[in-house]
Amino acid sequence: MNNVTVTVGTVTYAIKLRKLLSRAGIRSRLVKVEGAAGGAGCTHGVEIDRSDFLNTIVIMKENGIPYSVK
Amino acid sequence: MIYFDNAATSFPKPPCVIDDLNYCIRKYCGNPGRSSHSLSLKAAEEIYAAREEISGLLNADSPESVVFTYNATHALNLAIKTLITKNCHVLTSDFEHNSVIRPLEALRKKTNIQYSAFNTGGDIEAAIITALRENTRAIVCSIASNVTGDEIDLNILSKIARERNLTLIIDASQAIGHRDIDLERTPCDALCAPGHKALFGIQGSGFVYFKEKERRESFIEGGSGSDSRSRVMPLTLPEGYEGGTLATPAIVSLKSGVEYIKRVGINVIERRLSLLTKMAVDGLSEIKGINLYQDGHGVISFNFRNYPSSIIASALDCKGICTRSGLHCAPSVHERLGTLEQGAVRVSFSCLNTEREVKAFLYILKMCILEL
Repeated sequence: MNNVTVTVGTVTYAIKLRKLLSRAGIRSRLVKVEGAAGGAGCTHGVEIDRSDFLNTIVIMKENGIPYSVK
Repeated sequence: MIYFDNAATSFPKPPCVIDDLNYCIRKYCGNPGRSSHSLSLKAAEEIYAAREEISGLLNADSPESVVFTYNATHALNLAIKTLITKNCHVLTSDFEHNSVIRPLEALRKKTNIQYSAFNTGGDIEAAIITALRENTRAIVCSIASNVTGDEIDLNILSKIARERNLTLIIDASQAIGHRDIDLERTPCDALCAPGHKALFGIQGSGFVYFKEKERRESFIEGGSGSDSRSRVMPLTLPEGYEGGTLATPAIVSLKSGVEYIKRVGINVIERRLSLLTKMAVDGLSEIKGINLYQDGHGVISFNFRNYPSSIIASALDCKGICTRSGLHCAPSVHERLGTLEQGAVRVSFSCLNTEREVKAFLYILKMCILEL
């Protein structure tokens, strides 16, 4: 799997995103990003296949979920 | 043993709640959202599922707006102390619990708010409108009394708050779980509730449903599981108001309780409580010397002549019937009823109580009275 992690901050929004992606047929894995890779300390996000990246961003924008990409 | 103190906390819990709680504690109860291992993430997912169940129960659109607390008192303190601005007037009802009155009194001393109560005895809408002042900015009130079962229609409160641009904070402690509450139809700025009463969660559970998606002033500061380098709480809900480790087992039990209620049906529960209340009221009305204080369903208070309520409750307890006597943390109701000295004996049902238990209670009460 050629993966990319989309971080959204809180675990609540990460889980919300994962459920939205699941409903859209996009496979994802809930992850916690820690330390330097987490930017501001610790953050949560979802790991997705790179090919699903654009669709994921669309879903996040439609649902008001803030994001950054690692 | 007959348990008629469900307005204090529900007992017993449905078996599914106990099973789910047991499973959580045994199998996956990591600290939700704090670590990256599977138990922490699983716990976080269950917490989110609980938020979804609650927002679904309220017909609200946003699970993220469900902020977990440890009980309704914590919820009301959170809502009142974050949403009410300084130097304004706040309107409340004349049957409030101390979980509304005491935070308002604390705010009065700290931020110079004034508060007063509208009379719930007659036309509620007229009473509220009459009681509004030029500087009224908020209404904080219960929608069901924990002493008499008396109710205030949330439609009226929501309509007045919308028309006059007032902050509306609702204490749903005695209504949630057996009244249909629809926040799409009757929006409010915050709805506060315990998890451990009619929602059948265990003690240590409660929540606020906030209309706003971002926090105002933080209420509790501590770890939030993300953005640890920041010295302030997150701005977004729910983490913005949830500092420290959540009570995962309590929240899981609350989720399970809400699922149970949805399976049974709020309307079915409401009808059941009405039936039990009517049976009890009819039976109590036939006992000479009983003074009844009841105007809703699920909760009945009464006294026998001038006997202190504690004497009657104690006599019932000796015979295996659990009730609550005294002022029920709601002195303003008792002031209105004239029972500040005597208190009252409160009987409160859940949908798990039976007609047989009500009959037994009436029989035993008569025996207790004869023995006085």
